[in-house]
Amino acid sequence: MNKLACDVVVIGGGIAGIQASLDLANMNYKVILLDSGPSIGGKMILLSKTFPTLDCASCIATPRMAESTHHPNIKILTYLQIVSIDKHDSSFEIKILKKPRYVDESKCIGCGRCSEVCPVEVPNEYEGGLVPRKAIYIPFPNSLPNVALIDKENCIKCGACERVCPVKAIDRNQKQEEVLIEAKAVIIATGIDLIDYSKKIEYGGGKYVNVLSSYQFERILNATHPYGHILRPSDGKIPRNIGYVLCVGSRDLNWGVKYCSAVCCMYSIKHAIMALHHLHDAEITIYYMDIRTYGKGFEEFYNRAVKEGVKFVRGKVAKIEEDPETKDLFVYLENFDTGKVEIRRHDLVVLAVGIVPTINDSALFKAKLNVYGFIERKLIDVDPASTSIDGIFVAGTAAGPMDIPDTITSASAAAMKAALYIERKG
Amino acid sequence: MVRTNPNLIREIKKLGAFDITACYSCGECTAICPLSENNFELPRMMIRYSILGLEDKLLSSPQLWLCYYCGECSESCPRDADPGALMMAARRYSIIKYSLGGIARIFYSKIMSIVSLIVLSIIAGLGIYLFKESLDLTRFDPFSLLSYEFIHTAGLVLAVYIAVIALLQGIKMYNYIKHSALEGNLPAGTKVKNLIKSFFIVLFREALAEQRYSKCERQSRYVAHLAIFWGFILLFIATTLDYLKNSNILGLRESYEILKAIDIEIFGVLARIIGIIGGLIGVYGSIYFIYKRLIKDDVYSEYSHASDWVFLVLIFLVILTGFLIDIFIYTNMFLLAYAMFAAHLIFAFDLIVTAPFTKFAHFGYRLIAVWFYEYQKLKISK
Amino acid sequence: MSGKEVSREKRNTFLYLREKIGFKAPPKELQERLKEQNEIKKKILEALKTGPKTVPEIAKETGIDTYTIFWYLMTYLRYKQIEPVEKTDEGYWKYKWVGGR
Repeated sequence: MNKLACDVVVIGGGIAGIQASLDLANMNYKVILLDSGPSIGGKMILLSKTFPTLDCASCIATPRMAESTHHPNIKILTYLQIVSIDKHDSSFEIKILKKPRYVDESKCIGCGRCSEVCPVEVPNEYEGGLVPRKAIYIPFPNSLPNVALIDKENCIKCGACERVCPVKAIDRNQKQEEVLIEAKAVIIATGIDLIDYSKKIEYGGGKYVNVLSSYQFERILNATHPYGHILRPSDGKIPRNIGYVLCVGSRDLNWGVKYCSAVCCMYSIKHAIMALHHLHDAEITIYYMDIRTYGKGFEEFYNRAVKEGVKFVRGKVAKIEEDPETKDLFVYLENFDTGKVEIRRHDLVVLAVGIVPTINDSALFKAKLNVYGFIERKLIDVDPASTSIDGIFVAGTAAGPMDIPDTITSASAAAMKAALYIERKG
Repeated sequence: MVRTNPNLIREIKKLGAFDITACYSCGECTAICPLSENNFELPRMMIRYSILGLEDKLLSSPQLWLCYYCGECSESCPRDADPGALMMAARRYSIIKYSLGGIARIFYSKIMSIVSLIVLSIIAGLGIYLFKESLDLTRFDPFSLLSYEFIHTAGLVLAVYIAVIALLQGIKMYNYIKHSALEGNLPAGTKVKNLIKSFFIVLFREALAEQRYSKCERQSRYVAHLAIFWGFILLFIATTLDYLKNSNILGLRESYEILKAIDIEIFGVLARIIGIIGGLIGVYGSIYFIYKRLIKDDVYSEYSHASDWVFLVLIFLVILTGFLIDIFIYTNMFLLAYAMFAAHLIFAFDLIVTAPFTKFAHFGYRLIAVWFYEYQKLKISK
Repeated sequence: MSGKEVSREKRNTFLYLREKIGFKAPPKELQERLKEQNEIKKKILEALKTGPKTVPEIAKETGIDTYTIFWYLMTYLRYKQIEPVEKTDEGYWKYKWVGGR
């Protein structure tokens, strides 16, 4: 078993984890940054732009990712599973299981020739399943470490990748390996997932191909867009008429979560503005219950969307039906302006899916969770980075829904708290 | 000017809509409702009226009666506010408000309704006891329990009583709904042709086939509801036939030659057959609902108000005793048949006397509302 | 690579697999899925070779549903084997085959 030691272990390599690691590393603490996925970057690196300034998300995230990769005080471990976190007096013992990539990380140069020749095509989870990826793949264009991995479930062992690899990095003998890390403090930055909207039968239960989750639409709008243009999945048509359904799973006791996911209103407005910039004559309708533009510059962003021609219709969409021929969609709602039930046709419908915590395993992470499964903050008003366990801190959306600026603030706060904790313990 | 009743929502909540104040008015219930139509939106508007205390608006909404509580709104409500229960509670509230002098309030209180039913049963029992004749145990002859004249007169009195109250309350309801907030109100340019046409639509589609009910997704419930209705009707026909037979066709048989040719026993046979069919399906329908309300596995049956139980149990007992009379006659157990007949009379008396003020009244109010609705539809389609 | 070289390479891989990892054939359903995939891709390729086409046009020619075709076309796009050349009035792109093979 490999043994490592450091000052702080940061669990989760999203923007919160990266920010916390960088802050600590710059204060000269040794940090090990863990990510369960094959690349760090989390959700933010996969976003198109940020609201309300429409800055390019990857232009902000990539330099930080690169900095953390190259920082002498940061060691990054990816593609792993956390087995246990144990607290002994003033130190933590974190046991992890590094999963085999079947590609030698130290050799691979990330040229991507292996995936070019691989004959197997499976849905690409990083593109929301909109396009295929290969059985050997690099997660996304700016992933770090920029190393391929083999999806063993789908590999047919044809050997094509081995033949083309210029550095002979493919190593099918890799086994999973256990690593034990000793640290003085832990920061949890495990982030969020989307609510599984296939539970909402009235919205097609995930079966209508032209009903996209907001994440999928985010990818379509992205600069590295999988389709090359804004197109709809059923037949590659340019959508002329897009419907946007807010509060999918959020504020819904029935099948979703009780709380407001905090970011959906804003990213939906962002999507609408971006889509209008690409498709000049398109009609974009946002169906909402309330527009919650609570932050700085948010209300102005909403006003801008209205001015640019995005239509806002008050009324919760109750049902979506698909025309089996054209795959067009019909949304059912009660329009509050008229009080009448309306059935509106759209080429494409995007669901602003709410967010849920990635982890909900209190036994593993030790720290107490709140009723929604987010990590409970010790004192939400005055000590938002501390958790129920001394020495475990929480950063970013692991503590609750928040936007990127709040996430970064929260991550820096967690880093500072962790540093203070280590200093106090001596 | 709109008058508000600040206590409205509290009163309605007491009648079953316990969670409705959680509503954040998103309109999902209205959009998911299979019966929601242009101009006849259910149920969010009713929720708004209730919460805002707009009592007159609520009572003048025929939409209340277009709902059959399929429960889809309650199942998809993001606030678990149970809009279907609100519709149901508002209907209970309307029955109270439409009733003469608000007398129906008695039947929407658990204790009062039970007490009044016991009193009514005692009155009916005493009536039978005081006016009873000598029983003929060799065969079943209802007139050996109570005289033909007595039954005839009592029936007539009850029929007049029902007709008068139904008419008065129907007019009261109409006076409310003619002020409904719908576009194109009824009074101006009422076309008699349309009125008659929509009446027949209501009679055949709604009253006899409950076609709108079948639009709701739960088919088994629709069938059971229809079974109760038809069970009731068939038993009524059977009773009438039996009455005709035993009364010698109202005593006309002796006066007219042509009636003498009819074999009077045919009425008896028909009454038996129709009675057994009606009894079976009626018992099935009412047991279905009693069972559903006991196991509470469906949205509509989760909560049962006392008035639901009283109505359901009473109708079950009337159908059951009516059915058992037939069974006992068929098996020659005449004493039991007489006992059942007495019980049947008591329960039927309870049911009929209270009908205009209990859940039974939903039949009448619904027909008026649907008539109004069908008429509006004809008018709009022009 | 000549044909001979390819077959030699393939043999090397096979030997490599057998010696190093104890070759186990991939599951049958995976093989079948791959076969199906290859057939679809072949049909799409054939349709594209006769000139730039939109997704519905390819669907009409191959009899495959538009969703599947679009999905596979996007792999070709990713590896720059096709490129969108022209927008039709109905709002579809015509894709032109530019890759080798």
